[in-house]
Amino acid sequence: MMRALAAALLLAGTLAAQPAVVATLASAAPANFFVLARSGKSGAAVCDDHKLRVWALPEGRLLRTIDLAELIDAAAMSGDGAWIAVGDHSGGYTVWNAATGAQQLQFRMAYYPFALAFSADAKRLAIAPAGEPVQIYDVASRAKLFELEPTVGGTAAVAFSGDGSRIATADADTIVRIYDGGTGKLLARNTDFLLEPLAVSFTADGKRVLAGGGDLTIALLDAATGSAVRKSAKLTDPVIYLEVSPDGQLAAAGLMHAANMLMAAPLIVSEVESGRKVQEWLPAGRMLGGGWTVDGHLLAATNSDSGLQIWRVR
Amino acid sequence: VLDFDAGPERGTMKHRLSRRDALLRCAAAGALRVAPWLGLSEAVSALQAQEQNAARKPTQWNEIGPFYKRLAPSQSQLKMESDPGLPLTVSGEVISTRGDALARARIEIWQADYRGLYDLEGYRFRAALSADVKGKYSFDTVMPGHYPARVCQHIHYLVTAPGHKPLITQLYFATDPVFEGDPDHNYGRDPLVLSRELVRPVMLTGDPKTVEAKVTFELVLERL
Repeated sequence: MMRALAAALLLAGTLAAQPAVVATLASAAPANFFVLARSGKSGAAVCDDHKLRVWALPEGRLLRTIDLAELIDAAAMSGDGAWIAVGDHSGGYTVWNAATGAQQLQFRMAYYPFALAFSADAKRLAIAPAGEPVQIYDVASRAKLFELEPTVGGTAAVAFSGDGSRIATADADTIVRIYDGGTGKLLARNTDFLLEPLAVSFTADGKRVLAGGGDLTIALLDAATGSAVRKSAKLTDPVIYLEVSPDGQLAAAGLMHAANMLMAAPLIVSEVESGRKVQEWLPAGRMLGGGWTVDGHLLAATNSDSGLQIWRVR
Repeated sequence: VLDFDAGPERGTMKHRLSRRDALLRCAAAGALRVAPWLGLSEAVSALQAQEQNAARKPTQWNEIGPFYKRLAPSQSQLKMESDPGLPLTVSGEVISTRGDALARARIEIWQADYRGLYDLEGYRFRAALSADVKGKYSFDTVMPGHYPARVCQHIHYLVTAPGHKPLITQLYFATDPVFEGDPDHNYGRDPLVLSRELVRPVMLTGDPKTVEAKVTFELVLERL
């Protein structure tokens, strides 16, 4: 009886939390990716017309358009919105100063990126080139600081802890690895996954790591040992995005429609500690990106006929 | 007469010598003897040229994709009798860039079914094979369907052999409708097909009632 009541309340809560469009960003072409500054003050999209567009949020004012020469495989925006990084299919990597449009970093690697991520202080950039070890760069000095361990197949996702002292990777060899963020020394591993983990995120205190992927579960790992503290029930589809809210209470998980990754898939919000699902939203179209903002909102972007729609999911 | 029995690459030298220096050192140590009518320098040059001609280009790397699953069963029969789709036999050999057969190389393969769907919960159309003593491998499956987010039909490979770099690649099919019969010009329609060499010819066999496809895919691994 109590369980039924709790389920009914949860369902009511889920239905009550209806996401709303908070901005529509005018774009001459649909977007492939959307990256959001955690400040919530800007976002950028890689669009089908080979342009990178940067908007001020929430007003949706177009700040800048940057021409892109190649097909873009991954993009990232620093939390303060100062830097935008992209990696293209021919192995070209560029970091722009979002305010001026000037190139801060540009170089080539053998292959295109699987993932890019800035540290929370926006000083470092992690690049996961396809099939190659993750490389950590200092954005201001343009210096390569170190590489993480080579792994078979490369790294699908990389994340810094909030204080930058740890780096977590979701690797194609199905292992989640946790490194010292200052030296790149491997500290811990989790080998519980059978399929590739595709997303990682540290909890707010950096003591735990959320990881998920093709196993259709989200695991909460001890960052010191790599061992699993808790594992979620089976989800409907692989997890491709994980991010913990700024207050550390909630985790957002984006799923990938396994039968067709171009189709819409749910965005799920759960409590970090208990794993209890508090919200699930199936957008009308594929989610292009988004994330938590410092004021505790969860934003997500989808394409629409009128432009790029920014939804406040929470 | 070249009597060569001490390849320097088998050693554990801290600073690797150039191939030429290694051969000259072998000659000095008596491990390489050169017939009197061949000058040492000329013989070494000729041997190097011969080795280079015999060298094979490593198979092009191709990304692993999001659906690799470890602990796949050891089986070469991926197709069950009731499976719809064009029966397909893939065979080939695993060799090093020097052309040596890599006996017992481990070959993990995974693919979508004929509809283009991957099995995430189980191990349908997933296998771990072992090459035989001559480096040969073979498996029976069905022609994979088009996974909706990918342009081309493909089969994933992860190949490992002691002393060699792991190879991750994908096999594509020249008959894929995407290529419109001209893979030479159209292989780039799928941005993940990084080399024309990964698109293999397809031979149809059997009779009109039971047509089967056969494809050969050689895997060339680089030494560590």
